[in-house]
Amino acid sequence: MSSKVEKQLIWHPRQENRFIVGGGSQINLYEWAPDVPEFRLLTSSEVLNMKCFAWSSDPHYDDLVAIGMNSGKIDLVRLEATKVAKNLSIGSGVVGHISTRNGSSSKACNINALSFSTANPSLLAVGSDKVRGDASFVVWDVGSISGTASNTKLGSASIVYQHSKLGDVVTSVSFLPDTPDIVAAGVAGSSIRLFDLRTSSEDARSAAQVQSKVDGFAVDPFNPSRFSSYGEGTVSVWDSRSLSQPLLAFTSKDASADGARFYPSDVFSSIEFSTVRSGVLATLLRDTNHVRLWNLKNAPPMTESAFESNERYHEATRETSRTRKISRMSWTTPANILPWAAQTEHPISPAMSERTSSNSNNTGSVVLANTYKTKSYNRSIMSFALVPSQQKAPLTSKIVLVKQDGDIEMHSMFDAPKHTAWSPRGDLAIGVGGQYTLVGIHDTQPVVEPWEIDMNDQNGHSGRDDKSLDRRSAGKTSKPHSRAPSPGFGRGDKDGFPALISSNAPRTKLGPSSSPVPEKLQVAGGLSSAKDQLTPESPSTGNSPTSILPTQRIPSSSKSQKIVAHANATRGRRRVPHWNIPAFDTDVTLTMRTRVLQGYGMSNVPHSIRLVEKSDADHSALSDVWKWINHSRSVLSLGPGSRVHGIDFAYQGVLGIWEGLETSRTPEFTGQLDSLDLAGTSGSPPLSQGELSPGLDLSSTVASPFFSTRSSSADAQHGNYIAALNALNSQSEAQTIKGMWKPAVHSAKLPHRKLALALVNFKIGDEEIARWEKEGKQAQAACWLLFTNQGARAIDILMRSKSEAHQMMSGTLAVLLQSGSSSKNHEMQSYCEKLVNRLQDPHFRILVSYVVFNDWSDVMEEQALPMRERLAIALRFLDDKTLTSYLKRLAEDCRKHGNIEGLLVTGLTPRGLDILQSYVDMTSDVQTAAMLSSFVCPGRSHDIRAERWIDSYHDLLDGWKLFHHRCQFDIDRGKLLQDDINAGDVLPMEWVKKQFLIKCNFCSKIVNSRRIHEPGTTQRRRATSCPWCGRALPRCSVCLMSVGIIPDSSRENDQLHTSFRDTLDDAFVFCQACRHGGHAAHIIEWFFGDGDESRPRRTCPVADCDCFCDQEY
Amino acid sequence: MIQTALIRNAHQDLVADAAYDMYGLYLATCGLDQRIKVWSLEESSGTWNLEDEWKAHDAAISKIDWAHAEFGQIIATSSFDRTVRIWEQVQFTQEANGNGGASSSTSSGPNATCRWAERAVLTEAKGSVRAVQFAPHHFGLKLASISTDNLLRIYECLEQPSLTSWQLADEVDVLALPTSAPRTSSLSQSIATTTPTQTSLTLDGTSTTSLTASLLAAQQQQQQSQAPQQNRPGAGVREADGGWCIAWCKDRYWGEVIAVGSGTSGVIRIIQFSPHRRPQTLLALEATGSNSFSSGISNSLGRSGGSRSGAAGLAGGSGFASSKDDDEHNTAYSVTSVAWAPSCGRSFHLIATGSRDGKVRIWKVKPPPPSANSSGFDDQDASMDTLEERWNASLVGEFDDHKTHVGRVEWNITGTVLASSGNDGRVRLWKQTVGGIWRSAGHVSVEQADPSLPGDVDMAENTGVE
Repeated sequence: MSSKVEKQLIWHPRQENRFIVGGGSQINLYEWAPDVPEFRLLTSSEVLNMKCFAWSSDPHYDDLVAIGMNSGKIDLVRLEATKVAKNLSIGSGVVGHISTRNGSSSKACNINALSFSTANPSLLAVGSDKVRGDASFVVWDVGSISGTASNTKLGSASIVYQHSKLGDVVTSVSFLPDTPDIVAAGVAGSSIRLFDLRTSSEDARSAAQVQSKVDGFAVDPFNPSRFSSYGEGTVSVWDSRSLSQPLLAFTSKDASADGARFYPSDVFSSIEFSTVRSGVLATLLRDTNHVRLWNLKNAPPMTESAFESNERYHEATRETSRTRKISRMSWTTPANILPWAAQTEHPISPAMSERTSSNSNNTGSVVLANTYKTKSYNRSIMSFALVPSQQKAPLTSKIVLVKQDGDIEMHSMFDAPKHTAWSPRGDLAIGVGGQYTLVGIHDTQPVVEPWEIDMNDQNGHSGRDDKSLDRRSAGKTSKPHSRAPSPGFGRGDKDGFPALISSNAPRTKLGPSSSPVPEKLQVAGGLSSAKDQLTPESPSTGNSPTSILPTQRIPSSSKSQKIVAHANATRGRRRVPHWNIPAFDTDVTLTMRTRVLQGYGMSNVPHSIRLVEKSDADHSALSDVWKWINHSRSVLSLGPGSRVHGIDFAYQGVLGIWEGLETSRTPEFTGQLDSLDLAGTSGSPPLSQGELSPGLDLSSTVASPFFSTRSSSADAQHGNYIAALNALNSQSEAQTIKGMWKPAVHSAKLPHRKLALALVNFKIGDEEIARWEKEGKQAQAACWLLFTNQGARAIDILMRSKSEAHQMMSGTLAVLLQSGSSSKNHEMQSYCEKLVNRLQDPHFRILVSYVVFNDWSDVMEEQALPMRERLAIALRFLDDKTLTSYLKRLAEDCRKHGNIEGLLVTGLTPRGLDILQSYVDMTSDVQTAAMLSSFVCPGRSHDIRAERWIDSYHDLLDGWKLFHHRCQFDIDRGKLLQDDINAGDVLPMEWVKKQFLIKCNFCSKIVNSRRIHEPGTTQRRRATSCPWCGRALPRCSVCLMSVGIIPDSSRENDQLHTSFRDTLDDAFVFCQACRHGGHAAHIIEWFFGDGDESRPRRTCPVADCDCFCDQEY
Repeated sequence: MIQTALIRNAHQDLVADAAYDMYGLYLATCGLDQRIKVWSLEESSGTWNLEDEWKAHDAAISKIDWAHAEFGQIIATSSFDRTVRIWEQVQFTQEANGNGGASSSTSSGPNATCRWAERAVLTEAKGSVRAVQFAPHHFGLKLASISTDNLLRIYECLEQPSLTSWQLADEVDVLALPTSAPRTSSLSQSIATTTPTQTSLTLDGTSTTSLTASLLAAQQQQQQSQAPQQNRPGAGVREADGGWCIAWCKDRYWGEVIAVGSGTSGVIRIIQFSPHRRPQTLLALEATGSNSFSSGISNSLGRSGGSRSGAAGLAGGSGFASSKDDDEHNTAYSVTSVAWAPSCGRSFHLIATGSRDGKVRIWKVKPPPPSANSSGFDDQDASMDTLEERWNASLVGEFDDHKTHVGRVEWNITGTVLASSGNDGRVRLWKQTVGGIWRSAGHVSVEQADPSLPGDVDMAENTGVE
C-alpha cells in the first residue's frame, strides 16, 4: 500500500493558479483559469516508483518538482519540460537526481517526505527510512539554479545538513514558513523534532513526544511560529518556540456536535492551513467524502493571576459596599455617599494591569473555536487544497479536491461568518467577509411632524365627517401652532398627503387576505450551464451548501487530453443585483411607519379611514372597522356622552346590542351626569349632532315590561334598555332610514335589530341598487333584489349588463325562479351545487344557493362577503334564535382567524379585544390594535393586553425616532379619555402614576407622597422638613436655607387662585454626580448667570467641590 | 424602493458581528481584527460614514451589542480574550477632562480624537465569551454574557453615570440547571428560598458572602463542565462544536427571562431570573423527532440552583446526566444562534434557533395567560404566582433549506421577518403567511451583495424560492 502515493493534490507554492495532481505513476500539472472558468491540463508526466513529491517555490521555475522514489532516489523534474521538449529535447524533464545512498545497499529505502523551503527555494529537506550508515534526515541544497534548467546536474545537489544520529525513520518533514533554517520532522517513535540548520548538525534543537506517528505537517501562513501536525486520528497544533506540549490537540470527536461521527480508527490523510482565512485548518479523514474545517482563535494566555485579580476586584467592590453603608447617614458630606467619588482607585484596575501584562507575553493560548465542513461529495476524497486568493477577507474561499474516481472539483465555500443585523427601521445589514451590505428602504425625506400633516382632505369623500372634524378643529383652537404647516409640506400635495410616498411606493398590504407569496428572486449562483454539461450527475446548486463553481471532470487516465470548459454564454452579461424581496416592502414594519407618518390615528377617524383605504384598496376589512368606529359614535349616542339611560353604548357591536347591555356599575355618578347631559350643560364642545339628540320624550313613550326600572336619579328610564334602544333608533331613523322598516321574519327583538342594522350601516334602497348597477356590481344588486323578493328586477338588472356572464346568469336565475322552490328535483340541486363551487363572484354564489336551497345557512357562511353585508343579511332575514347563534359563531370565528372585521360583531368589548389580540397575532399590526383599544382602555375597561400594545407601539415609535408622533398618540389617547370624562361616561381617574418621588435620606420614606397630606396630618408639617421623621431637608448650597416641598394639595389650591405662583423657582435641583444642589432659581442663576460675568460658572457652588455640575443639568 | 448600500472593506479581517443603535442611525461593527468601528448614517443620502474605530480586545471579538438609548451611547463587546468590555461615547467637544465621568480611562483609543472610551472590563469568564446582550431597558442597565465555561452571567451597572463598576449579579451554570424536573414538595421550596443566596438588586451586606460563594461554586462548576470534554482525547481549549448564544425576552411582563443555548447539547433553555428566587428553567426547547415539545417549568428550587450551592454536583441530578449523553448518542447538533423576537403585542413569543444541522427552527412560546392583576413588574410577586401556570412551546417552523451550518438567526424589529444565514452563502428570510404558517420569503446570496466580484461568478437567473 505504501509503495505508491495515492492521489495527491498540491497547489502552487507561490499561489498562482496552478496545481499538481500526482498519484500512481503520473503527475499532472493543471492550470486554473478563473475567467473562463476551467481547468486546463498543462502537462502530464510519467514517474515510476513515486513515493512523495514536493513543489519548489523557486521564482524562476513554476514547474520544478522533487519526486521521492521508493528506491531512495529523488528526481528533480520540470513538469513543463515535456511541453517544450519538442524544441529543446531535454527528454523527460528530469533535471536532476539525488541519490540518498551510496548505491551499495540492496535494501530499498523509501523516501517518506520532501519539503522545499519557501524562504530559500533551493533547500530541500528529505525524510527517509532509516538505513544503516545513512542519515534519515537530510537537507539538500539542490543548487542555486541560475540560468537554464540544463545547468542543474546531479552533482550540484549537496548536503547542507544531516542528522545521522537520528535513530529512526523520518516520516514527515516540513520547513517552517519564513525561515530557511528550521525544519520540523516527524520521527517514527512518536516524536516531533525541530532541526535548526544553523546549529551543529548532530543536535536536534527540541523535540516533543506525540501520541502517534507523525504523518505530516501543515504550516500556518498567518503565524510563522505555529504549525500543526497530524498522525492517525489526532491533529496537534504547536508553537515552534515551545515544543514541550502542543497548544492544542484534537480529534474528530471534537466535532461530534457538528454531526461528525467519531470512530477510533479514524485516520487523517491530510491537513492544510488556509491561506485566505487566518487560523483556518482544513482536515481530511481517510475514506470520507467531506473536508472539515476548524477555526483556531488566538486568545491571551490563561494566567493564574486572572482568578486572583477577580478576587481583588470583588474585594474592591466589597469595600465599596461597606463604605456605602457607613456613609449613608450624613447629608453634610455628600461625597461620602458616592462610592465613585470616595474611591480614589479604580476598582477594575487590577484586572486591567493584568491584561496589559499579558500583552507583553505573546505566547497566547489557542482556542479551537469552531468547526464546519464542506458538503458531502458523492465519492470519498483523496486529497484537497485550499485555493489562495488575492483578495483580503473574501466572501468565499475555494477548495479544490480530487475524488476517488479521479474527478477534480473546485467549490466555493461560504465559510465567512455571516450575520444580519436588523435596523429598527427595517433595514438589514448583511455582514460577510470584510464588508457590509445594507439593504432597506431608505426614505430620505425629512420626517413629517404630526402637526404638519394635513388631515382635512375632503375631496371626493362624502360621509359624516363633520362631527370628527369639528371635534378636531375644536381641539386645535387650544393649540395655536398646530395648524401652521411648514412651507416645505403641503406644497404640491393636492390630496393633503405629505410627499412621503411616491407614486411607485411599495404597495403595502395588510389584513387577512394579503398573502406574501414569495416572488422570484435573482440569485447569484454558479455557472449552471457549464456545470450541467460537464457533470450532469452532480447535485443541483439550488440548495447545495457550497455552490459549485467551475466543475469539471478530468479523467485521471487521460494523459495529454486537453479539456476546455465551455465558455459560458451568459458571460459578460452581468446584471445589476436586483433586490426584489417581498419580505421587505410588504412587512408590517414599513406599513406601520408609513401610516404613522401620514397621520394615522384616533383623533381624525375619517382621515384614518382614507389612509387605510388607500393602502389597502382591495380589502376593506380594516377600513370597515374604522368606518364602524366613526359611524357608531353617531348611531350609539344621543349627545355628547355615550350613555343612554345609564347604559353605555360606546363602541358596542352588533352582538352586544342584540344580547342586551348591562347598566353600568356607577349608578349614582352616572345618574348625576345623565341629568347633566340631558340638560345640555356638558363642558365638552358642542357637536353638530347635538341638536337632534335629546330623545328624552321619545324614550319615555315606550314603557318596558321586562325591566324593573331602578331609577336612582332624575332619569325615570334609568337602566331601561329597551327605552334606550328606542331612543337611539328614533334618532337614527330621523337621520337615515325613511319610514319604519320591518324585518322579513317575526322578531321579538325588533328594536335590537333596528339599532344593530343602523350600526352596520349597510343600506338597501333604490339608490344603492342603482349605484351598484352603475359600478358594475350587478351581482350584488341582483342578490339583494332577490332577497327582498324582487326577482323580476334582479333578472332585469342582470340582463341589462354588458357582461355576457351576467346575461347568462340572468337566464339561469329566471329558470330557477320559474321552477319554484317546490319542484326542485335532485338533479337540479346537484347541478347547482357544482355551479356554486365554480362561480367566482361571491354574490352569484349566494344567489344560486339561496334560490335553490332556500336556506340562509350557505349564504351566511360565504366568507368572501364583507362582514357588513353578511351582518345586514343576518339581521334582516334570520330569525331570533338563528341570529343569536350566528352572531356568536361569527365572533368566535373571527377570534380564531384574527379577522378584525369581527369587531363589528363584538364591539370594543373584552370579546372584541380577543379578536384584536388574534388579529395582532396574525398580522403584528400592533399600531391599529393600540389605537383601537385606546378607544375603550383605560376609560371603560382595563385590559393588560391593551397596555402591552400601547407599550409596544411606543417602543416602535421611539425606535423610529418619531417622538412627536408618540406624544401625539398619547395626546390623542388623553383626549379620548378626557372627552369620555367630560361626557360623564368615565369616572375621573389618576391615569398616569406619579413618576417622580423624593425620598428622605434619613428615614428613606417618600417625602412628596400624596397620602401624607390628607386632612388632619398636614397642619403641623413644615415644608422644609421630612413629614415622616421631621428632620430638615437638605440645604440649598447657594442660599443655605433648607429646601422645601410644597405639598401637592396646597399647591393645587394656590394654582386655583393665581396662575403665576407655580414657577420653577421653588423647585429644587441636585447634581447627580456630587449631590449638591438647592433651589432651582438659585442654581440656575449660579450657573447660567444673568450676564454680568462674561463666562458662566461651571463648577459646583459648594467650596472644595470641583464637580462640573453644569454638565449634569 | 429597496436600496442597497455597501460598506466595502469595513474591516481588515472577517467581520464578526454588527449592531444598530436604537434608532438605526449608528452601526457598530466588529471583527476578527479585534477592532470596533462605528458608522453613522447620513440620513439625507443614505450613506454610511466611519465615525470612529479603535482596537478593542486582545483577541477576536465575538459579539457586539448596543444598549438602549436611555442609558447613553453604550456598547458592550464580548471576545475570545475572555472579557466583556463596555464602551461609551464621550463628547470631546468641550475641552479635555471637562467631564467628570469621562476621567477614568480614555487611553484605549488610538489617539485623543477617539470618541469612545473603555469604561469597564468584565473578566469573570474562564472561557471565551461568545455572546453578550443588554437586558431590556426596563430592568435597568444590565447585560448577560455566555462564555464557553457554560456560565451565564448577569452583570448590573452599579453607577450609571460612570459605567465603571459592574456587579456580577448572577452566575448560572447552564448545564447544571435541569431542563425539566419533577415537582418537589413545597417544604424544600421554602427552605431553599430562605437561604440568602441572591444578590441582584440590593447593594448591601449580603453580597459579601454570596460573591465568594458564587466564586467557589464557579470553580467547581468549571471543573464539572469541563468534565464531559475530558472524555475527548486531546489537549488545549477545544470548543469547536458547541454553541453559546443568548437572547433576552424583550418584554418586561414576565420578569427577566433569557433563552440560552450552551455547549453541545442542542437544547435552548429559557431561564428566568427573579430577585427573590434562584434562576429557574421555565422551558427547554429541544428539537427532538416529534414536532411539538413542551415542558413544564421546573418549579423545584431545591434542584435547580446548582450554581450557588456547594452541593451543585449532586443537585444537578438527572437533568445534567441527560445532557451528557451526547457523547454516546451523537444525535444532538449544537445550536449556534438563538433569537427572541420582539413580541410586538402578540400573545405569544417567537424564538428562532439556528443549528449546526442546517435547520432553522421557529418556536412559538406561550407564556401563561395574562391575568388581570399582574400588570407589569410592579408587583413581582403576583407575576411570580402566575408563573405557576405553565409556559409551553411548540415548534411552528423547521426549515433545512440551508442544509449546512446555520450561523445566525435574527428577527426584525416587529418579529415578523426572520433572517437566517448559513454556510450555503445565503441569507434567507422567513415570514408568516396569513394562515399562520411560516414560509420562505426569499433569499439573498452573499455574492449578490457584492457587485465587485471577480468574473468567475456570474449572475445566473434562478428560481430563488422553493
